[in-house]
Amino acid sequence: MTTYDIYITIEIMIRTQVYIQDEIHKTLLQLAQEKKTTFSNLIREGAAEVIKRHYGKISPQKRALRFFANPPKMHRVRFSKSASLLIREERD
Amino acid sequence: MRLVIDSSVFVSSLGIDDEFTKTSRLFFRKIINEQVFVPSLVVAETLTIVGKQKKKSVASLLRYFFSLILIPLDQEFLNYFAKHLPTTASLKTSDFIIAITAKMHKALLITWDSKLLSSAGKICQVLTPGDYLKQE
Repeated sequence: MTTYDIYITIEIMIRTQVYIQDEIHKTLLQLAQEKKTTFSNLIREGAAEVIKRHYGKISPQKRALRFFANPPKMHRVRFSKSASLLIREERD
Repeated sequence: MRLVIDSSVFVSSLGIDDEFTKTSRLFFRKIINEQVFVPSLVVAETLTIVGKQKKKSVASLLRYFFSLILIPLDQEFLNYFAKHLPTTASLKTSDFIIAITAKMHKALLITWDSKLLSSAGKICQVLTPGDYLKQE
């Protein structure tokens, strides 16, 4: 008897709602039919294209360093003491 | 250049009005093309401190750490650690782990921590982000 390892990749998607112009909506529906794909797939492709155009071929490390160079507001923290003091307290 | 970055630099960059926030962020902007090594201990310390204030952002913060070169506390590291552990430097275990990671990877250690700055010099080269920026 042979055993196999099966790996399944699950991509988590977020459901969202956007307003688009009637003309774009009609064109995308038509294009989806021509390309034998779905309207949602075309929207996803478009979004991925915008991200690629904005960030280019930036490596994950560069993206991480850019994050720490300018963390988004949701990641900024008001600490009770200075960072170096807080770290020293963790170590002592 | 190869760099090992201490928790104090990561934590201060995430701060709002920490005395070192501005310089830490500028430092991260300047090292975009350098090779950065991060001891897994630094990740754990940073998450602990951030998590105490803002638990929600810990999971997404971890995603960014995973994009850097993480140095685990594995067998290879512990072998090197045992061979290079000095008996003279007055540092705590976590300080040793960070300094010896820098030595192992022939990297410059970057920290705001005064104890590391004064004592890790016996193990590896060490600078503050501010001094690193002055050198550039």
